[in-house]
Amino acid sequence: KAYEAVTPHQSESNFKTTGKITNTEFEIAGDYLTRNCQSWTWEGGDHTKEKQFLPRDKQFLVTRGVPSLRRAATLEDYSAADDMLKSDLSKEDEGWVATKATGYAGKSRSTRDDADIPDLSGSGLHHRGAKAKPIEDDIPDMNDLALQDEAADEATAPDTPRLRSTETTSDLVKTRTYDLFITYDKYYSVPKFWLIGFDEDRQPLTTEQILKDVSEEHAKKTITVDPFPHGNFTAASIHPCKHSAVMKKMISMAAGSATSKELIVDHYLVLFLKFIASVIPTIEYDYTMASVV
Amino acid sequence: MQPGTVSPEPDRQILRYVPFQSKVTQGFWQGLSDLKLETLRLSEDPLDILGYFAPSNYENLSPQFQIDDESFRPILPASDTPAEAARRAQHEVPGTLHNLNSIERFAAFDKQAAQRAVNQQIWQDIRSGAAEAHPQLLQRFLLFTFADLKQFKYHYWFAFPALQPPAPFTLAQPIASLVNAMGPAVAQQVAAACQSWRERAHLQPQSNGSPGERHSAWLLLLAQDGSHVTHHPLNSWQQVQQEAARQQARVLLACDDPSASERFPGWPLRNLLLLAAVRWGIQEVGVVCVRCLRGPVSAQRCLYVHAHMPSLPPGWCEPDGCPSSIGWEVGPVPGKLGPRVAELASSMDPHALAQSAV
Repeated sequence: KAYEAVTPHQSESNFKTTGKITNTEFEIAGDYLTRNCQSWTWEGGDHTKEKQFLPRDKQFLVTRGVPSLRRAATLEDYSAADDMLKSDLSKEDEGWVATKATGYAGKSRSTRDDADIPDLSGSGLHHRGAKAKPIEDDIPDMNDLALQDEAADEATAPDTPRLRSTETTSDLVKTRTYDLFITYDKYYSVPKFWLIGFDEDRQPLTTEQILKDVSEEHAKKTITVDPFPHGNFTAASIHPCKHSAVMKKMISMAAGSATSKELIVDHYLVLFLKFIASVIPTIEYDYTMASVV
Repeated sequence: MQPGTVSPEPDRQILRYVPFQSKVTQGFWQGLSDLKLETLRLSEDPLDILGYFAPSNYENLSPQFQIDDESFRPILPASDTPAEAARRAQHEVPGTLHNLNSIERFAAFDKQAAQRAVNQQIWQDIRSGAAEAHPQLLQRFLLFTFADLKQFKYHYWFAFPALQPPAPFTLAQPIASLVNAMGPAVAQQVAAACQSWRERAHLQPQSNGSPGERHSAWLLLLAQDGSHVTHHPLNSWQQVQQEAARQQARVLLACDDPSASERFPGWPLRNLLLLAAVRWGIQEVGVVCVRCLRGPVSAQRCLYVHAHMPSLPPGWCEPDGCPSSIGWEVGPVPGKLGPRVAELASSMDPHALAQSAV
């Protein structure tokens, strides 16, 4: 916080050489993201925590209720991809980022298609079973509350989460969801990624549970739980200290491969989300922008 | 339907809806804990809070109703958010929180009296026209909580009251996707009008900051022969109706729909249909259930519901009566209404956090 108060803003754009962006560039890239991936929107958050270097209504980017159908451990050849990422960061080799980031994203998506959902719902059921017991013990019986006999309400859809049995013919699946946030980290001059998770019953996930959706390597090293800067809650976040190095590589790769279009700072957050997808492979991100860069 | 029931259209299917599934963030429980320790203390007075829902954005996900740290905005004047910084992707609706001091109070509290009070509010807002000017009043909610602050254990129970008409709304024709019901060209026009409604609302910061003028989940569409579709706020019903008669166009209701089901719309449609029956005397209406796909409104995902209203007996619930409502959330036991518990010691207890941080 003190750092934010005393340092001048970077005024010159050198995102291609450093992988860092200024607050103004964050805004430009955020505008581009919200225009082209409309599930992301700007928000102002708690305005007593407003950062003066960003517009009041554009303090951070958010998308809510994003499904996560599978756990990281079940994603095959995950560790292979992660090894690449790891070795690459250390070796400073060229040529890995674009292939890995896009290639991996593509792969996780195709495996997702033949994801065996029955298995998931099975484990979900197990989870609920375990949970239901203490609750029944805990709470005085409220059945004597003569609430309207809603079970017999003719107008409530029958095979919905209301009736959580396996034999429903519902077209809804029970799955984890995430709320995702991107803030601007002034100290590192990069975006910072945050997530809060919810289980199949929409109860908050613990950090331990969230780590199962994060690549093993990153789960141990780069995920921290911090107070979210624009609200009154804590969230898991990816520590931004390596972001600029990774982004620099991704930018140079993207610039090298894109023949027709010049890479501009507007695309920065789209690239950033590709990087995030390698850290958290289990959440259904928007890849609608894949063609742009 | 019971054997003795008189029904003019016995073979019509009943219109059914997918209930909300509540989603409470850790930030909400944190905020409630702070509030209780610092401000409320032993007070059990009801509090105004906010809840949020959005049109379905992903296939197969159950409808979500969210409350979080921002839900306390109405009772924290210091954090009063300027109108232009309001959430864009989610609809804000008013709710009442009853935070109770013990598990016994939580169990014994007269929830039905609270429910009746909300029924009255919704009913009055419908009859007075307030709900047309401020449609978010159609989706009020109730929340009962007991916060066990020592154990970081939070008991809670939601109700999303939907007023009940004298007989259920029925389907004049089977529910279909918008594309199947209207054809791809018209469906695109309708989706484009709904998308433009959403974007227009985003672009216009409210000059007077009035909360009622925010981007609403409920609106009217005027479809001229399928070639041109325009969007209108609910309170312009009379004008839109006259316009439709002049141009031989159709008026449709539209409702942002949190349900992802291909067969059932979500909960927010219920009170809108009652409003249409009570205030406008509609007997039959086409409704577009507006859904998105990863952001923009998706013509493929939207549903078309052709609803048939039950006839309202003269003087039904007038002048002082009020319809009953349903909408209590199911608990952890399948199919059974009941409260839920969030156990958050592992993410909120400073001792546990200190240990896991080592």
